[in-house]
Amino acid sequence: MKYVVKVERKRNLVEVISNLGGEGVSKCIQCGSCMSVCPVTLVGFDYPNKKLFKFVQMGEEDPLLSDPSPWACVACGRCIEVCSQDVNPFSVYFALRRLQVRGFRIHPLAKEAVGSIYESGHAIFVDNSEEREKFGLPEVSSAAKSKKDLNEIREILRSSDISDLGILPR
Amino acid sequence: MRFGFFLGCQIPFLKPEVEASIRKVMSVLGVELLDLEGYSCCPTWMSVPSLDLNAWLAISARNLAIAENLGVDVVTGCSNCFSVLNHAIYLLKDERRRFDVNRILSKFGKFYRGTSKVYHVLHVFSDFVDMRELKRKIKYPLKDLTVAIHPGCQLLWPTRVMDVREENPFYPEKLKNLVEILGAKAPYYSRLDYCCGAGTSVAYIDYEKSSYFVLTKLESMKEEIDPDIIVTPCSTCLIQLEEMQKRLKKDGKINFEIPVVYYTQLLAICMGIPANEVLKEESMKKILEVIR
Amino acid sequence: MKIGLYICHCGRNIADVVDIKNLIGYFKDKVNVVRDHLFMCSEPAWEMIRSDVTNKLVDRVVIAACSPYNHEKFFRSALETAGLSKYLLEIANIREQCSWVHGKNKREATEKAKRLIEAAISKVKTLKPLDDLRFEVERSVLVIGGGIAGMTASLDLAKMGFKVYLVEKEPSVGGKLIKFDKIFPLNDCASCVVSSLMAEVANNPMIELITYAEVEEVDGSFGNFNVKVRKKQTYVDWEKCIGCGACTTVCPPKAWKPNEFDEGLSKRAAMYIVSPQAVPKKAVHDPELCVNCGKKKLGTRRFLRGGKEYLTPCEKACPTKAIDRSKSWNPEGELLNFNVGAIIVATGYKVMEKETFKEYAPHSPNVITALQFERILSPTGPTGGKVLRLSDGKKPKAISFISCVGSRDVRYHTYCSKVCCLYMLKQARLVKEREPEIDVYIHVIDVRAPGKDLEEYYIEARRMGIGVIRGKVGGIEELPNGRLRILGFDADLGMPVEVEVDLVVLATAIELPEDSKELARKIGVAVDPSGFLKEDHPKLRPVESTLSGIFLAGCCQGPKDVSETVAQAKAAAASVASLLSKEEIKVEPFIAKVNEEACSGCGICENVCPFNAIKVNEVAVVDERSCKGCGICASCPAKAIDIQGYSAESIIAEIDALVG
Repeated sequence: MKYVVKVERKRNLVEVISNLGGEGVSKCIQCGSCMSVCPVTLVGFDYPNKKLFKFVQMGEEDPLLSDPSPWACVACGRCIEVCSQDVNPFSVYFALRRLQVRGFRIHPLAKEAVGSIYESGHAIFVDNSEEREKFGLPEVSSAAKSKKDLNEIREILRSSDISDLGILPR
Repeated sequence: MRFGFFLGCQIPFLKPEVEASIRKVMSVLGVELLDLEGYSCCPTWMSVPSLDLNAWLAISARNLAIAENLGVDVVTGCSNCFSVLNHAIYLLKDERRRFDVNRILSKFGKFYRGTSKVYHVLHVFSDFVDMRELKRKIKYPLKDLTVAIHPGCQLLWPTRVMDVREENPFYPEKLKNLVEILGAKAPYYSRLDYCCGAGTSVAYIDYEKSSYFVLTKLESMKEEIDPDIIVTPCSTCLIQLEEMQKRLKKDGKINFEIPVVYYTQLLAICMGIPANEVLKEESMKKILEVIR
Repeated sequence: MKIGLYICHCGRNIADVVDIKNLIGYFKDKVNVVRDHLFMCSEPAWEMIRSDVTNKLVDRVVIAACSPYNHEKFFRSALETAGLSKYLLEIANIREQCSWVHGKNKREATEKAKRLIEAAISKVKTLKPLDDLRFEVERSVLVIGGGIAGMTASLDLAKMGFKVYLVEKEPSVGGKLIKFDKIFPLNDCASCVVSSLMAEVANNPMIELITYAEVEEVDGSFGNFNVKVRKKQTYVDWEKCIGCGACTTVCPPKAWKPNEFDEGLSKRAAMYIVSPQAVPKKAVHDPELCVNCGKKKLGTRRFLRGGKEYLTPCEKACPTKAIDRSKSWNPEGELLNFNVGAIIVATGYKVMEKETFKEYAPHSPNVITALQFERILSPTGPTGGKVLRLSDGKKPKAISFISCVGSRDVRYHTYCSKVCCLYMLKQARLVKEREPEIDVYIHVIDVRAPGKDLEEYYIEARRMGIGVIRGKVGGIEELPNGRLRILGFDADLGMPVEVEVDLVVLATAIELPEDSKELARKIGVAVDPSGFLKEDHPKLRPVESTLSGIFLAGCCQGPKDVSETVAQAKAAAASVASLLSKEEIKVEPFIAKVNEEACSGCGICENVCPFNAIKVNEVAVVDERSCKGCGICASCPAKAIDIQGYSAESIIAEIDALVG
């Protein structure tokens, strides 16, 4: 399989990724140290981080928009700790998620989690008050029980780019 | 000693017994935990941070602002919240980002200053409480117990965003020391740092791939130290290691199950707090069998 | 006064930004001659200037070009050849200070160029003809560092008839190279390369070898430096010591510590001889380590025990009575003082310690640095050259080498340490040659083997079955029984790779030792951003330091292999010789000049001079040799002192033109 460098109509993806919070992608020298400890790589996703970084550097957008690897990142942060060039590979991975999201490729889990936060203030929310009582625990003091606080969360979500994605309830 | 107690979502709603153990142990040690009124999801990696940077930072900053108003640092039992909030603090050191976030927060009279730090529950024992004091509170030390410790990734890396750090994050000592204080052995095994396979998502995306981590980890534990129990300070790892073992056993991939506990559950039992106050019934029998 | 202005295009460097035609038009009526050239530093342009001067068209020259740092001397020679004082020249730097930094703003750059040139014209009008200062030359050289670089340079200079003081910090010369087993690309014995040099420097009558000594102070300047060297106290009478080593074997184990010569892999006693090949082969006493047998501290008066004079084991063992603990040794050692005409700094390198690299299990005794492994391979090392791991003395089944540990890594050093790829290949090959059944892997970002015979050396290693894995290692996990699991990445296959081995060798970065930095501060030589000593120009003056008369050789200037080190040492020796072989040296005359009539003899200048170069004896008198022309004394309240070539008049004229 090959990829073709689009000399004529290349987007400056380094800048795009940087604006989405990906730090230092242009500094990557493909040394491989992040790959040697990355869980996503260890279980064999197609385009683990450094490969995607190369696509970013080469301005090759297609694999970036469709590859599921970024969504498998476990946020372990080990890549940041071992990077020899002060790239923040983790942040680039998350920027790639955000890039895909802007192309309306949102992982269903993420959609669900954001929806849940909008509804209850929590990504995971179940009514377990009976069980909590059994353990002698007080009511959870979160936005879930306070309309005012929940509205603040909703306002934050609504005033962000997320509102353009059509996943927040109207 | 006072902290704002950031509950998160997973612990209060899925693992209330863990919350109970944290609250009880802290009260024995005289550490006061303040509720953070109106807090929300940190927000976890697979949610808002995956979609938008500014919204993530605003929600994290809003949570932190609640603690700032109480004038306390934050402690959380959830490694995921610990990681998300600390990354947010790190990013919010940038003045422009802080300005953007405060423009949103000011709409509802909140303001993020960056004055409250975020610690993990484990750090309270390892770095704030006097170790001798902790040892004095142990009524029933563990004997002849081999513990496989699993610190979990998000508590170790990246050190640059954390205020409490391991001397060597690749060979962590804090959890080991805290388990040894209880009288148990906590020997090193080669996959100690290895991911549990849950993190934010792999577990949900691909069972095969996710279980590979658990299998690799279990294999190393079994072969190298043959532990009686696994101890972790991460609620996500706790759920993953418990659930995956059940499933792997059902699928015939393993023929054993090593009980898993959250650190404060074990600590609570050693302090003499009744087991049924910090453990769920379904796992209590197995765990007590191993400990006694 | 006829002023000529010569404007350089510098190819497109200047001309692309600064409008040269505009400049010519602007200055046409302000000076006598205006000319431009594509490359003012070329021979035709030089000839153009010379002929204008010879033909009396101009008698003052302004050149608008690059920094005077580059070609000032070249332009001066045109004036000199034409019979004009070469100091009637001024350079306006319109490249570094104009076109290079204002590339986006052409119109304003042209205006700035005008100002810079006008300032130069105003200054050149005030200049007076000056002659070089001429000094007699001290025909001797100080060489700091007795490794391969220092020894080579010393011997070359000695053979050319110069007196050399070779100062070495350790008790023996030989440097790092004497610790190695074999060296690439010929795999010849390092000891054979370096031992003969060690013997030669010790026996050459033109070389005064001063080991176990450090340079304390350097004064003066090129042609005549005054040097103070501290010879450390050895607590052994080296006149009597025959290097038999008897004292070192009786020193009790309580007084042992990790042996520096074996990179900490063995122990040495408080009485020690650096190595079996030490030159001079003399014992040294380490008082910090000594347990003072029989409570006989250094300087204790002789006393009897059991009717006989008590002697410590070392005293008793010494056949020549070179050890005498009752003597009151001066812990300060001895201060030597001598003059030299030039200095060569050849202080070498150190490798980073493994402790810095937390992801590579530094606490494991089976993770070692490459320099430690070099000792394991060496026949004089702790295993006698057998490939063993030290945790249990067993032969390893597999060894992994990890490259770029601290090099090419923004957390530590951004530079490539240059020699690691090849010495790893060498060590791997030596292992394979001795123990073919040991599996050997090398983890590299990429193999860097440019140079004669070196690529071939690498290819041969691959053919020998050494596994080269392209990809930086991210971590090492410790296994039971002391084995180690390498968490690597194989870029060729695009997947992570794990290798379980018994021994891990880290190719840690080469860097300048702290004490060399301290020395650089002391003698005034600059350190560059990479942390090595800075050469004056990477291409044109690669062995000269930033301070005239001080030269650099070997790894203190940057990582290099033995061939390059020797080449640089020989180049440094030749450069020193070319300067010191003359009867006298010429020095720029930009020093303080006292107007004796205006001087009141108040003495302020004497107090402020940082170089002790001005003394008041009725009136102030400048010591031409010591004056550096810094200008502090020119703040004289009576305005009696000026710096030649930079008089107050010149500087004011320049400023007026710039701001006017």
